[in-house]
Amino acid sequence: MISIKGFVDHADRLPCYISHVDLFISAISSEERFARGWTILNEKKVKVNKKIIFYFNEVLDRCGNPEKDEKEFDDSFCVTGSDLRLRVNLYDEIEGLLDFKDYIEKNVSTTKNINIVTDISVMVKPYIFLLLKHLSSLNMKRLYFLYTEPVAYNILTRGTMVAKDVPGYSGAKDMRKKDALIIMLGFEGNRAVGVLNESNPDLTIPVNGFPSYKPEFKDRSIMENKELLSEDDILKNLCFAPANDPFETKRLLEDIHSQYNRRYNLTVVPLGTKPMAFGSCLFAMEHKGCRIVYSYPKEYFPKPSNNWGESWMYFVQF
Amino acid sequence: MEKKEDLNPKNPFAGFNASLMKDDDIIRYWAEPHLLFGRTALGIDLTGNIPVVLMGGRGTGKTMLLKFMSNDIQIKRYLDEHRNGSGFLEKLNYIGVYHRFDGPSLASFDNRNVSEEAWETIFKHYLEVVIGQNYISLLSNLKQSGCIRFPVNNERLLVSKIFEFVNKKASTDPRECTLGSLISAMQDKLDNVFDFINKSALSKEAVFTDDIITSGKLMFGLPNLIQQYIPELQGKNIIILLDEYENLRLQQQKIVNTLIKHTKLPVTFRVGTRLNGFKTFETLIEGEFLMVDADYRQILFESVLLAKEEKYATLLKEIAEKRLRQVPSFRESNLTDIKELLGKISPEDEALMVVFGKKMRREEIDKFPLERYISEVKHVKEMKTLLEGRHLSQAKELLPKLLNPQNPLIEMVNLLLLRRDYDTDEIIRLFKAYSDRKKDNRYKKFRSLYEKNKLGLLFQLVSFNRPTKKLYAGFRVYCMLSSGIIRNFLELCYQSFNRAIFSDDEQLVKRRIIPISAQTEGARTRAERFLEVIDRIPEYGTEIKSLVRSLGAIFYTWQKDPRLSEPEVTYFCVDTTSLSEKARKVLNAAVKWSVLQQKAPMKGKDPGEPLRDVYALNHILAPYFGISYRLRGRFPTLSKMNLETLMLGNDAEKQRVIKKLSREEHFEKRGTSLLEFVEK
Repeated sequence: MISIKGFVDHADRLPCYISHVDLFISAISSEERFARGWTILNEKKVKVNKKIIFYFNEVLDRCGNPEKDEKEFDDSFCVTGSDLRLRVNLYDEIEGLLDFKDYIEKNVSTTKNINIVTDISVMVKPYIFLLLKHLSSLNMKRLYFLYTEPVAYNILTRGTMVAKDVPGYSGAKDMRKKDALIIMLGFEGNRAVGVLNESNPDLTIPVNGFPSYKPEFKDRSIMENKELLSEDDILKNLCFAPANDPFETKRLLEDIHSQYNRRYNLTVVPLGTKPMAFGSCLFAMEHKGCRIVYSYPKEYFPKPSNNWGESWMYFVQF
Repeated sequence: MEKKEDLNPKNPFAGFNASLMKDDDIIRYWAEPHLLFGRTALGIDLTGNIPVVLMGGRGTGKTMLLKFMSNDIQIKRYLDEHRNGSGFLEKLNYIGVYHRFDGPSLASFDNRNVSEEAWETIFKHYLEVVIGQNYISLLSNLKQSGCIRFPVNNERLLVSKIFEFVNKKASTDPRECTLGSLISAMQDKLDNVFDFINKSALSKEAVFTDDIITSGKLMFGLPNLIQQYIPELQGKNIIILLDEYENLRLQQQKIVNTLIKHTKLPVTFRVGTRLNGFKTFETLIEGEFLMVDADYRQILFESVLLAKEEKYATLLKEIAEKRLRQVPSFRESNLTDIKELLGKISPEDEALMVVFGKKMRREEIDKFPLERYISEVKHVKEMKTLLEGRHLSQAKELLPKLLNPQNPLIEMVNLLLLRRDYDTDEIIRLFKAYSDRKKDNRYKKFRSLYEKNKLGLLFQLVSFNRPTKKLYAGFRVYCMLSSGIIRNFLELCYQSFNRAIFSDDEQLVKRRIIPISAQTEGARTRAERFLEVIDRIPEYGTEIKSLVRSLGAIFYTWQKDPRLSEPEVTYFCVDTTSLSEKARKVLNAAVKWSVLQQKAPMKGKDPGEPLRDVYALNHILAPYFGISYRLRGRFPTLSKMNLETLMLGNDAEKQRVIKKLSREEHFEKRGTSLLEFVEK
């Protein structure tokens, strides 16, 4: 069993922990915050040796002038010849990650002590899940992640393609136990109820992001999930975890685990913030029996958020 | 201290999803659906040898039925009624083991790092282990509840035999040769499966190391072995109750289909699936198919339930009664008849409320000044205008001959005949014959017109009197709105009780009826929720919602057709063979989720037209669109292009088709507001 520890700090304090970055991983997006992590590293004069940037085809396709925009994205990340622009499909995280894995194996010497910093701000969750799984399998001692909060959210996704286990996070169902579903509440109540109906759990524990990035966000997630929370048996189990702290999410899940694991198979549905989803993955990696189910949308909206707020650094130690 | 029962009314209809219900609730709320069990005459025996596929929309009661047949519930139910388990097995001719196919996890038996053949083998192995573990849990249940008593050494012997069966060595320590250790051993096998699934997700190097159990080995082999050691189980069918079959992927369905086709008694299957849940009827053997009647019997829940309207109503009444009895305040007040609580409102009564704005007694109507009636009542004003157009000077004299303020729907028939250009004198004669009950041909004609169209005319009357809205209330109406889906009925009751209890719970018990307004609001809320849920339908939710909104808007305009050429339009016909694959998939998904309900194919209106597939909008949506909840009027056959535009087109194209298919005149009258259904 692996043991994962970590903490949160302001992103601009990253130089207090590392003097240089061996590998910086990030992604492009139409969101203003997409290169915020990179900008902070620059501002703080942290030396970066190599970059891998996920260039999502769908993001480029939506641009009026893909070539020009690609160049602008390059400039935003100061992409040079030694860096890798990984052209991947937003909707095919497995293929994307296999390309990533392939590249890492061939080109990056992953000794235990190299510094890898990954900015997860604009990566869609399925990429974050798999990236974390893969990075954790590299036998590194520690990993650094950056996350920049948005100031406002727009429409996030449209429709549901399928609700399924996140690859690599299927857990191990114990047929002697009942099923508990822990739903990190997001702004799309339909997706939460969809997974609930697909899973038919014996126990449902909703988790709201509180404190939230902004006070109104916590109310919005409650309002958007009113159908789910209208069931007394679900509402009474409502828990809270800070929206921007994956380790607090993990700690909450540990508490739930110690309380229910003997009688229930635990499944986490990370529909809340990315830090909460990130915390859910950290938890599931430590508890092999626990499962992560995600409601894969049919379509991601091109610009799900506006502007940027606070940036955070997550230090993960294995 | 003894716990006092809470006498405040609580909503007895909270909790309607059998999958989320606790075992006790399933037992408490169970009402035997005689319509389903009493089908042995048709060769369908729910507890017999031949596999049965239970097909129905979400909430029709499939899960409730399958779970009820499981050994867990049957044993619990028996123990609730008896002091111990002895005698349990003598009463049953079957024992059921329940397994639900979990959608999210089935998808993980597939990734590109492992070949399809390997996944097929692993899924077969997984299924064997899961069902095998279920059998052993069944034995453990029977033993713990005292339903069976193992002769000394028999348990150990059986356990070691089963260990051999699953290629595992039994412990030499007799204390470890127990059912519990067997269950743990099976769990180890399952853990190996999940371990492989997790490892193979991101790696081509993952290897499955456990011994593979071949298909059918445990599923069909274990029951034989068990029956050899437990005489009480001999002669009983072991029914594998498989729920949510539609969640299986195509190849997984082939595997299960093969097992169903080649089932070996005493093992047989009951399979619960949504409509259109079969992705394939193929088995793993090339050229072989699962065939209805030859290999299994099929029950279509909605069709069975709706075919016998009276029996369906009785079933709903029984189900509601079980729930109402659980609430002390209703039980104490003997208020357990949902028919009484929902009451009845006739179209004639509703018409009076629409015209006069409130309930009026006969005497009050008689005293209502005729001049005022003619000048204020909107449909009468239109009759006056039409008569003036025909006979300017005599209109004033003729109009009273067409009026019947005691029943505005009769006046609506007269208005309809005027709109259909009937001769005025003939209309007067028809009306007179009906009023005088002459029983001649005119009487029959008018009566037939009245009976066939009165609900359609009520909808028109309502539209004359905006902002008054159509009522959706009464037990019968709720039965029809539910569209053969029991959960729809429970949710309708839930919503209306919520309103009644919230507004005045004492009045509810005192008056013994849920106000019509609360029922209508409840029905509207349920319709809105149902529509919201469409978004959640995987893959085609958006397209289905687009189609439903468009159809609702179109049907609404047809209802206002002045000549009422098709009253109460709620369904359409289409030649599905002409549709693109995507459009067919959208239609199938809409049926699978019961948004549309497929009816028996119909012949086109023109002679020689081939049979067309028929799809009705689920009546639960009627209150949202303000349309009828009956299957009456038919919309002209939808062309491939129009249907595909409504589901797949952009907004401008959709609006063009909606406008084209609507009753134009009314479309223009309402202007863009008609599109509110589409745009929302």
